[in-house]
Amino acid sequence: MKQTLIGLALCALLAWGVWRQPPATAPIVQHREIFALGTLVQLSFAQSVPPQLMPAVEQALSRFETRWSVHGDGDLARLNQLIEQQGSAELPQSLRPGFVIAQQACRNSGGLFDPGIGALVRLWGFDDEDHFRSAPPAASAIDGLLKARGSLCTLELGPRITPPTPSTQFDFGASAKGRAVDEIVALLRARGVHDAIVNAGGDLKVIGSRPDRPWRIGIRHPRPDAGQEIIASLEVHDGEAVFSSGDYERFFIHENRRYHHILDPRTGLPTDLSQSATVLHRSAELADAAATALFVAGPDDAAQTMQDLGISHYLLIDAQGRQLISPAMAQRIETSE
Amino acid sequence: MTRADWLLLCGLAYAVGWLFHSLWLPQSEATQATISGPHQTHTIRLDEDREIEMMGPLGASTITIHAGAARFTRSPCRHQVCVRSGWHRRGGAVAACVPNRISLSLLGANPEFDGLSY
Repeated sequence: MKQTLIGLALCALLAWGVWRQPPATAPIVQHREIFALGTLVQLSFAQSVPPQLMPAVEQALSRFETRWSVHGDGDLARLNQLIEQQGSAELPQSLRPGFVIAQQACRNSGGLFDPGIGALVRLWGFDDEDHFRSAPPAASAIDGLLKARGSLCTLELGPRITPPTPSTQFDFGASAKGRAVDEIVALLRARGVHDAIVNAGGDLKVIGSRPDRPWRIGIRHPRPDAGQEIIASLEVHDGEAVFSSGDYERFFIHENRRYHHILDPRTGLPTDLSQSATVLHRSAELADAAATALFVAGPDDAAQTMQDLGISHYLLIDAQGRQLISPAMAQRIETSE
Repeated sequence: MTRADWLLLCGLAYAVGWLFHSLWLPQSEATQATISGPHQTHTIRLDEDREIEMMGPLGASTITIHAGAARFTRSPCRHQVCVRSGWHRRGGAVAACVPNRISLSLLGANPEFDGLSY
């Protein structure tokens, strides 16, 4: 009798499970997407989207892109042209705050992050889709630019800037996206947004939280085809940014060797110490620059470089796929292995 | 209880556990994908294998749906970032061919992650 009752109870539970359907619920998060900054910018809202917000975001991103692009006739492109032609140029007020923060990061990283490598980035063809190469440039060309370039670390940021050589070109590809994300987050807050994520091609900053839990972010494996898509996850709180740099997006293979877009300012070559670097910080701009510096530093110099930059939360995957996780980051993340 | 009773009980207990996992727990796997281009947007289910071509300013990008996952398999851009990003199966995952203005977004009822860092 007892067995029959247990069997009947399990059958009833089974039938209930089959017929029961989860209640249909509206999505908690709405997404909007914009192509900007050379990537797909996704905005996720855990609230209603204020009217006229998206056009304002698009305009802000467009203005930012024009200002900081090395191509076209924006402020940075003109600055580079003037330096090339005249050896010096007035530093526009629109660029000054970005130059100041980047210079601090350049100095604190010992030059591992240095926007003064613009001519090298152009030589390698990583500045623009149309310049993409299938083979590395000649070693003599790299050496020539290395000797001729100036560093942002040592530049005097007066009303005019005069790099040591006119062949110095500035490229803020390793920090401008962070600055843009900070600016868009500020714009969203000013327009009443209190729960959202600004995600610019895998580099993101959050506002508030979801109604049911904090925002949860996955960190993608640098070699996802290895059978593991996510290497770690963490909950991210209001005002925090998570930025990653890696060798897996912009690269080409030549004679069985991978040449990626993150150049070591000391050698002019893609660094071969790391696969990916992830940094968590409240400033997206600093997180962006620090992720590049961490990637270039590699495992041996990671801790010192991050300490000098004031970064306590970081995760580095080295060239062999080994994880180096800072103690503070270890308290925040769940690893998938 | 006989051996048959035990087998029946174990089978039923397994079935209840399976139902709990598949019907009641939040599903992190995506169930649909939205593919957007300059001229059109498609939302498609991920449980049917297929290939979709989407036209952008550079030409056709191809997105393949297979075994509940989606990926760019061909695209006319030079960097091939979208193709190299591989298969995507989690709700919330995003891939894009920026030069060709084509995006792929995976949708899930309750995605495990609200965003991915890469």
